[in-house]
Amino acid sequence: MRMPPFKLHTPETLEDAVALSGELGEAGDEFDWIAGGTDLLPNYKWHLNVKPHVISLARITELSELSETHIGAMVRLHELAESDDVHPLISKVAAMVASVMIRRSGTVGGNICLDTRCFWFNQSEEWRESIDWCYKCDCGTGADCRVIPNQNTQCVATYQADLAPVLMCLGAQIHLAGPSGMRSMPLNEFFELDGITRNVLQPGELVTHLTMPDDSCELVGDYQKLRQRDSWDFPEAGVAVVWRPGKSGGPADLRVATTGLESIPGYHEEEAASILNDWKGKDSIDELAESVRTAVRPVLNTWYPPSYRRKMVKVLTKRAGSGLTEV
Amino acid sequence: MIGSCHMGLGQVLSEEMKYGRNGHLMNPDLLDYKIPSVHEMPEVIPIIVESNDSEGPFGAKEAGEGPLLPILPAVCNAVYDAIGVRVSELPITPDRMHRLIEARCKEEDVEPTGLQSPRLEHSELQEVLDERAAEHADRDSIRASMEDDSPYHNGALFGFDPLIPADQQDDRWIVSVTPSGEYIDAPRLAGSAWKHEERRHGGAN
Repeated sequence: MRMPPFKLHTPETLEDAVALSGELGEAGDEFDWIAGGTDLLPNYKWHLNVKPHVISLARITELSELSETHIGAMVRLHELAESDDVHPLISKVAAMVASVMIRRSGTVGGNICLDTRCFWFNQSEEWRESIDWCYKCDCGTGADCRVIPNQNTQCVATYQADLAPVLMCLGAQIHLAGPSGMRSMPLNEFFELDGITRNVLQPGELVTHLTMPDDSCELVGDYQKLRQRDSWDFPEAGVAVVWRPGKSGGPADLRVATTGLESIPGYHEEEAASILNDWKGKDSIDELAESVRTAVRPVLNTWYPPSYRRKMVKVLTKRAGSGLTEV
Repeated sequence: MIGSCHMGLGQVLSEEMKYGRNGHLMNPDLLDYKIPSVHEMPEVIPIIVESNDSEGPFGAKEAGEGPLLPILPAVCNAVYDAIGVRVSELPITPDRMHRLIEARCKEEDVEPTGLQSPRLEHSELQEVLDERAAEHADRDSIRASMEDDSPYHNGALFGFDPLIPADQQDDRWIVSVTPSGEYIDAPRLAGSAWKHEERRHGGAN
């Protein structure tokens, strides 16, 4: 449980940070970014994929800008929860993440890029050695996945962060910077189904900020999550339902996203669109809940069994979409 | 006592050691071994009943793990009182509870909201017990209002002398509880231990 040694770099500007990551990349040195450290440091203490270099973003002030349409990657979750500028749903969700101490330190960028979690992976080094490692942290042994054996192709660890589904539903655009330049994309294209890499970030790239579309303030919605203890547990399942109030009879736009069920958050575009085409009020919400339940594929690697999580996804979707009947 | 409540609530609601298919403990850390945190704990008001335990040193009575024990049946009975489902496996996590409710609904062929809570029906004994409890409460309040500040002893509420054994002062005070032969011939469930034969030495004698 002792912290492994690493070299800490503290660049003061984004250019310095990106240049440093390029240098380390060229020299063949592996490194991790550290923002709040609430996810990375416990993993390092457990000797999970430890890198010799760590680049801290704490001194880069330009990453902590916060306004109605601009959320910097280094904005603390607590600031987001207390903010009056951002969409009320974002501050509500930020206030639901973990405990207040973790929110004081944890950041938006860190929450979006949160490492996936699994019963067979988030364990001490001795524990993992006794099961001959696992696919995600195989320590050079080429070990098999312990959740679903005999499939050495994909890690199925669970993505358990809260902000992503809500930001996806609100249409956030994510901005990345790296040695090869800046790029941006919608947040739902940022994630790629793989428990190890989980997103499109290339080596040396980092998330700089998120921008919200101007019309996001017209959207309303809710987020519901499932966990054993409301104080600080990771979500076992989370559902965000966001809609644009229509002129008459039903919402004008409907977006649904889930988290805590697969290796990446799920953006259920097709399910939402098919419901929206044939809007029948309360029955449609039940239909939507059922289609989301069948769309998700949780596996047995967190506290609740997958069957219960799927059943609860249905309930959570109904609860999150309960405001739709008043549209 | 508050700590015991906390331990009891954890044991009955969330604390569970989960083992993997090859016998590994899957949750050997405080994030996954779910002890109730300060947010889950209700306010607990301990009421200390002073008594003199003749078995303990200087009449002292333990208060460490004892208060933990009633928490588990209290929560299980609360569940039974609410929806009529008897829990036989702890902890009562939401997924386990959900499974039990589903099974119960299937058995009774009702919706979950239609589950009836069981009604408590007292036997005739309850009236006698209530009467005795009321009498005892009266005696207790009389003693509390008296100026006598001598230490509490068994039988103090009945005005017994602490230096003479209580059963020698009143016939109703029973020390030995060996049941009559008539009772031992047809004991009920709790009394069947009286018919148990000592077989510690191989049952020869």
